[in-house]
Amino acid sequence: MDKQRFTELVLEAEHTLYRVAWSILGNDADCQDAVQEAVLRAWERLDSLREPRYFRTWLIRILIRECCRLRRTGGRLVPLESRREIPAPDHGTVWREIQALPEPLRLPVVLHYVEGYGVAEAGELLGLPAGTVKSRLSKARRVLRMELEG
Amino acid sequence: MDWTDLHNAPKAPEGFHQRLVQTLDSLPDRKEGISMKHKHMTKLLVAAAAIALLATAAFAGGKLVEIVGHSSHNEDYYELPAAEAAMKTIESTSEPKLIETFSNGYSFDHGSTVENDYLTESGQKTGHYRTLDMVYSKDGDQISLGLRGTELPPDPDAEAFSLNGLDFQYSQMTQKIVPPDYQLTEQDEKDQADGTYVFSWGSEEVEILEFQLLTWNADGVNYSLYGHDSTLTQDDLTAMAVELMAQN
Repeated sequence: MDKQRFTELVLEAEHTLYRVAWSILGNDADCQDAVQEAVLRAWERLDSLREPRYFRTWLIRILIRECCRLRRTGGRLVPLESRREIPAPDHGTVWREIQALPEPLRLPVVLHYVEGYGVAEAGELLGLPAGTVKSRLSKARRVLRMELEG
Repeated sequence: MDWTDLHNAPKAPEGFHQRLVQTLDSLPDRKEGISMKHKHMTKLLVAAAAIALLATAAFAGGKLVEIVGHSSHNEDYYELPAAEAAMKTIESTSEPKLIETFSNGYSFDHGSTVENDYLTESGQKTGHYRTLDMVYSKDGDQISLGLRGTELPPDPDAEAFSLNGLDFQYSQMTQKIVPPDYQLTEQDEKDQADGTYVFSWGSEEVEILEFQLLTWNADGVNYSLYGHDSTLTQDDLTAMAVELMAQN
């Protein structure tokens, strides 16, 4: 894969990369740092991508690891309870409530309902069995329903 | 609940887009990027092979064997693995000790699973083992912690000492790492014979590096702390080992 194709594929995934990173880190500055680092790592490790058709999934997996690493090494922590109040354009009530979910529930929901990954794929991205993803999605739906309808 | 509301999920803002474009525009030349990675991996693998050679010298009965290490890209770690996962990786009988950051400031950077094969001179595979190698860095200096799920016998050529109930062995050598097709010169043969250099094959260009290794066994696990051209001393490595083993 040459640089031009790599660039095209990264840009096609841009909004997904942003939403996934934001769902973990909760602020734009850290998202930018994490995505930059993930893209550089992906470029450096391109030889390890055996199937180019899995590029987006592969890149997201690298990004999730990078976000976790950044958070662990001192990113700008955003308290969970303040996620709803973060000043941002109106992205809809459901998105706002998803961001207020605890992280173990939040990421499966973002990957499955927002980004359209299947349960098994979301599990692969998060390193979780499909059954665990299913149960977290179920719990997340209950919490969201209570918040939105209760 | 109205899931169509998610059509309003945010798109990447302009600042994010600009930073991404900037990153993509400044990607290093592919060849350069790869060679840097390979150089690093070569050091890691050559180190693994060197450790294995030192470790096997005692029980190989002088019979020359070659150790070929290759990393598994699917098993790279960007976060410190859990002790249970590390135990499974190296197939040990107890959970190894792990540490995120040493008190001297070296902190976990990344790790790799390395598959190692024993080969005879004719290239026949006679054995296999897996190691977990974790790289710790501080101010550009790197040191690695290697874990293997088997206790290894002592190397008679290493300096042995005991501290805090642990039996350590320390080795230091000058490695000349050469490309795979490199043929030893007459001078190389002399250097090898008198111990000036320990030769290892696998780099892209000839490199001469100081290699130091501290190794010890505990609860069925062989630990090794090692580095190339590191600023750390034997005492520094020993203090790090003691700190690691004091972890819960």
